Amino acid sequence: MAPEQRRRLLERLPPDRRQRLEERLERYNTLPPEERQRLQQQLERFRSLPPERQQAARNLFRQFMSLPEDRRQVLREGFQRLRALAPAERLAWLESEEVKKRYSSAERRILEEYIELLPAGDREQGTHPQVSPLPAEDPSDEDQADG
Amino acid sequence: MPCPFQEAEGAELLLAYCARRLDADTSRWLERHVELCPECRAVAEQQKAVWQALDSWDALPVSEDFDVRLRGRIGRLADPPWPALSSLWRRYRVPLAAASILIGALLLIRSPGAVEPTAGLAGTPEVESVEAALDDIEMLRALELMASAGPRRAESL
Repeated sequence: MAPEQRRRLLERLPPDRRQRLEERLERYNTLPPEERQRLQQQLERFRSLPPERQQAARNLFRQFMSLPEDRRQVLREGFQRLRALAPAERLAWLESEEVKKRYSSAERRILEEYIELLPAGDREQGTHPQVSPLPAEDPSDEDQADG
Repeated sequence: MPCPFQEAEGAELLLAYCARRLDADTSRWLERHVELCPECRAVAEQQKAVWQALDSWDALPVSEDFDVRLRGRIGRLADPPWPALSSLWRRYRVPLAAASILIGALLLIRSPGAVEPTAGLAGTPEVESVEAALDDIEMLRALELMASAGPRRAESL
C-alpha cells in the first residue's frame, strides 16, 4: 500500500482503531521482503479456497488463539508434525497414546480439524517422512492434557 | 404490473404517486407495491418527506406585519451586499431547500444502480478488507496451512 493511500485510509478512522491498524501494518512492513512475498502467495492461495473452508480455518485459528501461549506452542509442534506426516498416517498419529498424553481433548479436536484443513496431498518437504518421537514432554504440559 | 424501478417510466410514476397525482386505481396498486418493495418504499418515503417539507412551508402563516417588518429590516442593513439575492433567498429559502432534496431524490430514482448502502464510516470497506487480510495473514503464519516450506513461529500482525 502506498504511503499516501495508507495515510488517507487511516485518517478516517477513530484513533484507537487507527493506532491498532497502524501498528499491524508497521509490523507487516518490517517483515523481510521474501517473507512478505511468501505470505502474499499463501494469502492468494488461501483466498482461492472455497469460502466454507476459509471460514473453517478462521474458526480453528480462533480456537487456537483462545489457548494460553504455552499450549499454543505445544500445538504448533503438533501442527508441524501433522504436516510432516503422510495423509494416511495423520489420523493414526492423532489416536496414538503419546498424543493422548500430550494434548487435552479440546486440543486434539483442534488437531483433528487441522488435519481436515490440510491439503490431502500436502506433506512438508525437508522433514522426516516417518513418525518420530515428539520433543521431550514438559511436565507442566501434562497438567493441561486430560487424556 | 412490474416494479416501477425496473421500468423507464418508473421514476415519473413514483413521483406522481408521492405528489398524489395518480388516479385512484393506480395509486392503490402502487401503495400495495410500495409496502412490499423496499427500494420503492425508500424512494417513496424520501419523496413524502420532500412533499411534507413543501406542505409545511405552504402552511406556514405569514404575519400581517410581515411586509412592514421586512422593509424595516432591509432599511436597517447598511449597504447589504447582493440585496436582490438576499431578498430572494429570504423569500424562497424553504422551497429552494425542498427543491434541492427533490432533485437529489430524482437523481436517486434515475440511477438506482448507483445506490449503495452507506457505511457508518467513510472508507470502512477498504479498512475492513485490509484488516481482514492482516487477520488471514496472521492465521496463515500461525497455522502454516498453505505452507510448503518449513514452519515458523507465528507472531501477531
